[in-house]
Amino acid sequence: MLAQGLVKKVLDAALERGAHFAEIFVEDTYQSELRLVDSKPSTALIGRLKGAGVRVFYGHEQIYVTTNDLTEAGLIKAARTAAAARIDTSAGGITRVEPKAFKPTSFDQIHSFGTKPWEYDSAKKFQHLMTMDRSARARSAMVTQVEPLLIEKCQKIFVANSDGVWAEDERNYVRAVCNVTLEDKGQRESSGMRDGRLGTSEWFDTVDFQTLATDAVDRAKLLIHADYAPAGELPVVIDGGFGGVIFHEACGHGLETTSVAKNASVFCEKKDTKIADTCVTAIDDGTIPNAWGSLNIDDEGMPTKKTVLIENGVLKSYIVDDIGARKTGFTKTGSGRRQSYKFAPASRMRNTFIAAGKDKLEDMIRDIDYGIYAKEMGGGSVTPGTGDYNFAVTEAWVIRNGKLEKPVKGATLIGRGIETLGRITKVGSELRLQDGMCGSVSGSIPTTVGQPAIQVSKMLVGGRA
Amino acid sequence: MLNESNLDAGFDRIAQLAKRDGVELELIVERGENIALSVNDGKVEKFDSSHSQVGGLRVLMAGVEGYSWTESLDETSLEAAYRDAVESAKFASRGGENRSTDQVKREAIELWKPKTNAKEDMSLFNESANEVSLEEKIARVKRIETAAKAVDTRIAQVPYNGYSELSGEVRVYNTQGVRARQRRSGVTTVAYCLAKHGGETRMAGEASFTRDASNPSIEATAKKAADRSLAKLGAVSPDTGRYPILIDREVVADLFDLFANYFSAKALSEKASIFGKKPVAADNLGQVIASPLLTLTDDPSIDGGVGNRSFDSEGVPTVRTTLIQDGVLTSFLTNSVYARRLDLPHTASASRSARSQLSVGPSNLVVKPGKSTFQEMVAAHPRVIYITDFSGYHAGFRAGAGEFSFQSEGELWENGKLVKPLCSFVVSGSVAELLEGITHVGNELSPKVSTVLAPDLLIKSLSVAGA
Repeated sequence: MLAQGLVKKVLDAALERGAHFAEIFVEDTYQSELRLVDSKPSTALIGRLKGAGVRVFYGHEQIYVTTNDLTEAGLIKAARTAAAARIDTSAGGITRVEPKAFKPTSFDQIHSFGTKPWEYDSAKKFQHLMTMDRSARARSAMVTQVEPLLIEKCQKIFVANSDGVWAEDERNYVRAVCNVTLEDKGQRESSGMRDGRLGTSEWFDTVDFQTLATDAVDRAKLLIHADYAPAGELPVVIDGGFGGVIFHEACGHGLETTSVAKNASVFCEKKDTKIADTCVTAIDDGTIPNAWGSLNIDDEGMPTKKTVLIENGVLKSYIVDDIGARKTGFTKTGSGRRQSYKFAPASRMRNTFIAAGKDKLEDMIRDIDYGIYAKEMGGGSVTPGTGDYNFAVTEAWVIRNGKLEKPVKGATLIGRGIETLGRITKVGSELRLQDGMCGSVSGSIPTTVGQPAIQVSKMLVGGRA
Repeated sequence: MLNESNLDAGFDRIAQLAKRDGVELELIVERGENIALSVNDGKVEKFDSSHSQVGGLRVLMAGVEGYSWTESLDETSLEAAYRDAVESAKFASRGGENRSTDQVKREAIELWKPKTNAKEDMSLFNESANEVSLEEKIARVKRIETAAKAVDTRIAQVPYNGYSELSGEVRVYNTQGVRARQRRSGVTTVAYCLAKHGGETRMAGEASFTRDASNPSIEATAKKAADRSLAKLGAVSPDTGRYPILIDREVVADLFDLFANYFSAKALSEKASIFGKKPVAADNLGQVIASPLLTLTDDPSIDGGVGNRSFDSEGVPTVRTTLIQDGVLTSFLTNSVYARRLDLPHTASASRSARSQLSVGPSNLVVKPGKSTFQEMVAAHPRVIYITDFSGYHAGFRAGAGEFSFQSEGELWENGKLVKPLCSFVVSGSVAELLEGITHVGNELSPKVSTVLAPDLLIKSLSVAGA
């Protein structure tokens, strides 16, 4: 993306006041969003994002400057602004760090990419959207609105730093979403289904758009006249796939060095200690071919990795970026990620899941006299400092006497991560993954969550009293 | 950054292309400069400085919209963005052959034609931040942490804190003659404190906003965050049941921010508003949707309002609109497209960022204060749960169904006296249950840190799931 000579000049400018480290990140992104409402196109939007961020470290102090001006003058100005923001001068006089010679980061291209958004026939995209619209409307007369959506993104990145990193990569994302609203006898219910991957537009040829739409309708239909979930502390079985959002919120965020380095996580000082039942092994893996949260290299230019976070209940690793490694001494895990050049990278999750165990879903349900089966989960959030998390169940069932009794709506599950982790008593044998978007300090990024079905002995179910 | 004249020239260039193609064009340009600092244990941890710019194009081809945006505003990039927007419009016209001529005509979109252009509101911008040296900015962010920790030895950390200065401008151009510009500036301070006692940890935060950089709220913001987190120590989960619920004014402001889309004529048209019960839009007005104690307005020109605007995203001069009067729905918010399409009054509520499509949104939503004091409300029932925090708004709000289920923190009050802090519970209900169940409205509005201003509200009863 940039010539070596120019990059060297930019890093030199960033280091000129004695910074210990300097980095430049450049991005050129194309994205497209197509949506129908009322069975006709409502959104057709193409965006082009282009800019650079210069980052310097003075010790553990991080300075980040962004610019849209990618000319030599613009980049050097950004670098000098970063250098001049040296703030804590207690370290004494200026000692110049010489940038190391660039060594291109080598990695295997493990993901396959094909047709770019602008190369794929737009008539076919329209047909895919119409397939979702028609399938949903044909499924039930209660359907009052269908909002099918196709998202495509092509992100080219370049990163170089004073440690000699020189890395370029291209990431492509495709996603299909179908949201529906149903109305019947004065009741309204909405639901949505989605699928996405790290990949290019020919993937649309393989998507079962009809099922995506009818599944969304079926879920809303199931819930529209359902009772509300009960309230109180109950045993819960959380099914696989997006159920993994529980680990993401309850534990994953607390393992990011962004929180750990400032002692603002309940998982600080817990490395190599037992924090969960031996049935729990959890992994954050950036290397799954074409998975939604996968990478070749992270946004700091490091090849991505598969990181075992918890092994048989014992905390083995945190999720570590460059600044996190400098602050904590832990080894980097290739987890420095950012939404775009507008954000400095931070330690973030990739494809994060609880690994398959030995138990069967039927047995987990059969164990329970009165509880909740959370078949599909919605979004959630966590306060890392306390570990208090919440997330919504989009399809829940009451379990009574070891059997599914009835579907219920409006269940929110809350708790404290470290407590919930200790209450996972069974882990199923069938691992499923699901795409999601994760928002945090370095913006909104694609992350996969996943797990097999798990049984939790007690959770607070926020239904209706 | 580009100067004024070449931005105007850039628009004129793509307007020429549009004219050649028989296309109407609207351009929104957003430019900004932002400086943000945070500290950890007395040392600067993060310093972010950003310059940003983005141009958002909206073209109309035979009444159909297409959109694009670009972060490069030179002539070549604007021309490329124009071609992207035309491509988008071609996509958006797909399927049109299946609609009747009448339908196509009814749905055809036109650009706003100005009689006069709106004037910039000069009160939203000042250059006071230029007078604040880098050393002073650093001193300010350090003071946030120091002040919070000084409140009590149990404030172990201020893990999320920040001092930021923002200045920027929005310009709207269209080929019907709109030329509008608004500059904005502001200083925000934030503190989130972690209180620790024994094995217990609690977190709470506070933010402040001012347009005058000479004297931002630092110590007061830090102290409030610290006091809030300390007040949570010792919290327990309440018993499951139904309780009268007093919702803190800042939480009420968050709730109305979530509910705002129900007042949008676009949402009404797309069947996404719970207030849309009848097919003819105007027939939905006049329905009772809340307690007679509730009056809600959209006000674009409050003294010091964060969401003040003298023109909307189409460049239309703004007006004040009453949405709920004494519990009765009196208006939906519209832009030029939905006012025409649904035959509703035009409230100049167009909302569009450069990266998004034209929509409808409020400026400042204001819930009219009532007469009740906090003490009167906590003493209104033998037992009241006072909600200080809801979490997980995006997960717990089921907008389509009009229902919510939020992780909560608060306090249990009995006979007008504070009994204990509460945590680990979920408050659930429907939007209708909440709005219709208002029995008391507080006499004081929330601080001007968000685009919604609201008083405390006492709700007759909501469901509480606890231990």
